[in-house]
Amino acid sequence: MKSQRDVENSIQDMELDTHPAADQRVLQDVLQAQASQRRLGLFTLAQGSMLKRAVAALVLVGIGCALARWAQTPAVDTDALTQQVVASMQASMRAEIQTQVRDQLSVQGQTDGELEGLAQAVYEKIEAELATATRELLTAYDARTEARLLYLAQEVKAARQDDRRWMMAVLERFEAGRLQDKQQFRTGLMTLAARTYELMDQERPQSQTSVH
Amino acid sequence: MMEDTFLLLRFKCGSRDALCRIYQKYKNTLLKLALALANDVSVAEDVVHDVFVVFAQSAERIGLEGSLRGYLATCVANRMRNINKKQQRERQGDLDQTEPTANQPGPHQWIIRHERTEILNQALAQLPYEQREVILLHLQGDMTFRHIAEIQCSSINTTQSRYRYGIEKLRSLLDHEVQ
Repeated sequence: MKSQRDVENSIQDMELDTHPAADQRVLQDVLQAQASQRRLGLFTLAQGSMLKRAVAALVLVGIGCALARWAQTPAVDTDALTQQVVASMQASMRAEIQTQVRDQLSVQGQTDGELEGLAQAVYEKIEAELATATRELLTAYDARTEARLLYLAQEVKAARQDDRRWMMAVLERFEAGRLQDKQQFRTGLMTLAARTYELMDQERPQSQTSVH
Repeated sequence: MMEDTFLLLRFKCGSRDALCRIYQKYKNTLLKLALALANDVSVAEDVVHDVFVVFAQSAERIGLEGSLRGYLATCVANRMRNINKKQQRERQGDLDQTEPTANQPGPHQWIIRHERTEILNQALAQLPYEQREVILLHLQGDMTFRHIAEIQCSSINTTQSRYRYGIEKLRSLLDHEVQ
């Protein structure tokens, strides 16, 4: 009769093979199942992250709007300002430029039509330069304003720190005074106690003799 | 054991190679287990196919702790139990139903059977299902009696007794076969 160990070994060593074609087919099914699950997972993940991002963006926009409403300052529209500056200068410059061009070029024998055209071209060129210069000026002004605000903020911060430091110094001085007072009070009490004891000591023989 | 943990980790990260490796490593074990439990080639093939497909889809749910072999063996055992219950219901519902002829090798057969395995499976088929399950999960699934007891919803003593009686019966059955 077979031993228990033999039976166990024969079960553990059971032989079994598989057809390679069927094997491939099953493996394909398994991999397909994995791929479909992964696609689903990625979609869910993407959906989740998109939703999270959308909510985060909404919250940020909301905070931004609230802050902007709270600390509303009129924004500087550089282009509009440039246009205004250029428009205000146009009227005074145009006639002057035309006169200058006419005077400078008439000596070279240009016709009136040609002079007019040249004056217009020069005027347009100067106008464009002026617009660029104005825009740059305003941008620089913005940058300067920003730098000044930053400087102001730093100054305020420094002042606050100075205030805090001063307050700390006062508190420390106050605490030191309190400790000193306490020490003095303690010394005074000890002196008083010692004096009292001395007085009592002096009084004692007299009272004792008076009893006897 | 460490290899299985790394395989599982890679599988959880979506690695196809890891899944292929797991499949190659455990397909025969699971097929043997399913075949011995079902004593029916096509049922065994279906069970193992389904177990691997479900496993492939469960990368997010599956944990890294425990034995992968034991996990897959448990999946096979659970699926077999479900099939058995379903078959019992069907038998009760339709007594005239003819016995399945799935043991006949078909053109798309996955399992190549060996004579010795066949004899052993025949012997195992004569054991009560619970005894067969304990023996196979313990010897082929490398599962502890405690774990098997949890699956069978029984005490550890009952599980060990089932194993002992099953092995004893197998000894006598295989002895008769030899004679």
